Amino acid sequence: MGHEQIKGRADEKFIHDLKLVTEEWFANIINHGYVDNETGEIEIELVAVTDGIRLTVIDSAPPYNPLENNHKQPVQDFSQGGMGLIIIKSLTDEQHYNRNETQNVFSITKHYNPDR
Amino acid sequence: MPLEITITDEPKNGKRISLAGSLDTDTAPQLEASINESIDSSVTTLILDMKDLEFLSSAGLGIIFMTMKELNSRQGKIILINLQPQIQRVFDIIKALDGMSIFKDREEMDVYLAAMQQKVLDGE
Repeated sequence: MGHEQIKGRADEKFIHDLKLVTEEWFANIINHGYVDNETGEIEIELVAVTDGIRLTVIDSAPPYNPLENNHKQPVQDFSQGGMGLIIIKSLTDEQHYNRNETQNVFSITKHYNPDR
Repeated sequence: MPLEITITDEPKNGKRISLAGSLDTDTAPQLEASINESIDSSVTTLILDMKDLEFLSSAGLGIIFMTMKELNSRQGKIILINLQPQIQRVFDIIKALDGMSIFKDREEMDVYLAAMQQKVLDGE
């Protein structure tokens, strides 16, 4: 068995969590990034990596790095966007943000980790 | 997935909202509208029955917390029952359970409420 072989599989919990993370990030883009737009494009890419899934979401909204967002509001204020980012960070193993000329490129990786 | 909302009366100015399906960005406004319509200031205990709730996102949490604040401000309380594991996990992540009571099921809640009532009767 080669090391490149896919390790683990997506169980029900994994799929739920990935769905929730996707919902949270989409809601964030629509509610904040595209807030002044009637329409806007969101591109989504799912890649099976050796031990999990990498999800990349690309939008053309103004620059916004969710990883630099220092939550000034305490959780107790229950801002939806703030809670969404906490959920994304808690349910994924890696998060990367990159801004190219016109787009926000946010990707997360989630391992098939039964402990998480 | 849609959201089904059923509102029923409970003893002593209580209301129960039973949720089924998905409470997310799409459906959270429906719950907000139902609460605004059916939960007036006479309601002191609101039970949220989540037995058939399969999916909960931060949009839904926002409505629940807003309602909790509103009830707490007039000495009311919100009680969550029958949380499925994936729903419980979302609450655990946000760690914002202060001001809410959570019970495994209806029976556990009834035991708690009976004990509370007994305390009142005992004059504690």
